[in-house]
Amino acid sequence: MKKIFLFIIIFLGSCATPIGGAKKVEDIKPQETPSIESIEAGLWMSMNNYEEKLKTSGSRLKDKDLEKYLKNILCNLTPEYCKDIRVYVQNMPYFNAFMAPNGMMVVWTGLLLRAQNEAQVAAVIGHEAGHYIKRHSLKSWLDAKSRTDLMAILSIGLAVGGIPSAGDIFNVTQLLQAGFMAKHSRDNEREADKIGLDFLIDAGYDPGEAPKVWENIIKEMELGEANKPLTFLASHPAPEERIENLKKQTEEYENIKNKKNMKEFKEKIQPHLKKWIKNEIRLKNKLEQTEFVLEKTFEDNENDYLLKFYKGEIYRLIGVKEEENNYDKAIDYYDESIKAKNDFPDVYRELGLLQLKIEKNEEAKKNLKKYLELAKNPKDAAIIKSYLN
Amino acid sequence: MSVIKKIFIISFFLILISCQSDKTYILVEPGKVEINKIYSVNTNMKWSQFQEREYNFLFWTVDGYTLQRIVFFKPLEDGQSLFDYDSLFTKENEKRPTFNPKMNKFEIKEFFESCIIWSREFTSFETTDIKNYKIGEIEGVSFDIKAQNELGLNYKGFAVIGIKNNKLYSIYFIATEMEFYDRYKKEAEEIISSIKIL
Repeated sequence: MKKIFLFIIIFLGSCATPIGGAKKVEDIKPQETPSIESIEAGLWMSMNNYEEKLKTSGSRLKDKDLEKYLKNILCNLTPEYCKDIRVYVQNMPYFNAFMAPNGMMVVWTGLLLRAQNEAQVAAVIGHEAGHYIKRHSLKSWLDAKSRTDLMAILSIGLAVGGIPSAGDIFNVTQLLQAGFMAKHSRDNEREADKIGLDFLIDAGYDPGEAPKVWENIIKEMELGEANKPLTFLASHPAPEERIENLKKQTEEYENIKNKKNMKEFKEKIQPHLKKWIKNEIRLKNKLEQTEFVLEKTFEDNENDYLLKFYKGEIYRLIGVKEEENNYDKAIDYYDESIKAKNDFPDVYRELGLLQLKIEKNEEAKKNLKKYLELAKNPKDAAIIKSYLN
Repeated sequence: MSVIKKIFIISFFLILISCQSDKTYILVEPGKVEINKIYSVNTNMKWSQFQEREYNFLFWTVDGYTLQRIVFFKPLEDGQSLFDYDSLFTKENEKRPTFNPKMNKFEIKEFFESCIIWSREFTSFETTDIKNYKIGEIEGVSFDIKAQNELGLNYKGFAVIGIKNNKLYSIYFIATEMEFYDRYKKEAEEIISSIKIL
């Protein structure tokens, strides 16, 4: 048996390509396009097809103003690659953004909902631009390919050696392969983090906002049901590790500025907030998790009435569940919202409709009338009036 | 039994199976139509009716369901969802929206919208212009639909929905904004306005 392993190790050692043996890949230069016969051109072509579909896809958020705003952030971070990268917003209620090798950057609405200011969004955009500049997609592809070859040899080697339960061997090699690839990917992520941080600081943003993005994600994960990624097999560095690295790297810089641009960012996402929050509530994540997302969204206090209103909405939508009456909690939040701002029509409507449900008819009618008065001929007036009779 | 006889019997059954008509689609003739002893409607034209036992809905279409359809749901009871079957894309079954008979008119619209979004057939789905509407003798609501699929194809439509005896009755019409919505809108309106709950 030892001889067989020795043979495999010698055989692998004699391979010209080392483990993880992708050839050295240079950074992409501004306005560079891959030569037509290259592997990279193939990757670009498939992503160009995907991008064409995304442009007209129903999942793309049709807000040119918001996409332009994000593109401006990108151009501010890296003027030399401004022409090469296109930014799209996709209607997906999860925290994510990704970069394709052809320069297509996609940001999900769940990320924008969770970002507290422009600096945090810039941290993500800068990070994704880092992936593009370092050609990480191409590197990952080449690396995956070389590992697939290597693992095929390893599997055959072990099988020929007569080791029983071939299925297990296959699983072991797959596990090893996944581990190698994840490590490679984690290295890419660290590299992109460093580039993103350089961009952030050069553009005058507060670099302290970059680790905050991950701190918030960790807290949200801890409150929810989502499993923490396993350190070995994760395709991204563990968020804790990422925060540590970003904080350590920030210490090395001088002349750090603290631009956050919270107000500008909030103005841009304001038109979509109601819909995004509704989609967030629809995910039916753990209550504490959804509340945490909302608290971060409305952290500026200026819109405390909205935070209270939406918290009320979460409890209203859960309703009566397992003998737990969430309607009372919803009403408490609606009341708090009214205390914070007494002329927001929607809260009177929801409060009134909920009071009708629990047969507090007099209070309900009072609040529904208040809604009609504040909303001034709303489209649903006829339905509201049908409840008043 | 000889081998030849066995082969003959097996072949006979195989032929019988292969000759069985496809009952998934049936033709609906103009006139008064009863749907699963739940609804009664009038139609002026022919439709193809699609029905599968495992689904709690059936639909009518002319050119294909991706182009236009009128969907009739079976009445839902407390705790049920519009899509109670498991689709490939919706694995989180425990998170599926569920009906509660105490829902108000706005909440049943919200529930309908959440169910369609949960089914992930459309990547964008909005309901607007909610109005009081009577489905037969049920006090319900009607509202307009605007949707888009992953390919970016725009859809328009409308739905009527209401609660009777703690059960939710819902019917909607949807068609591609280009060509088919305008072509079938009037007919769909007439069909839906003729609905009676049996």
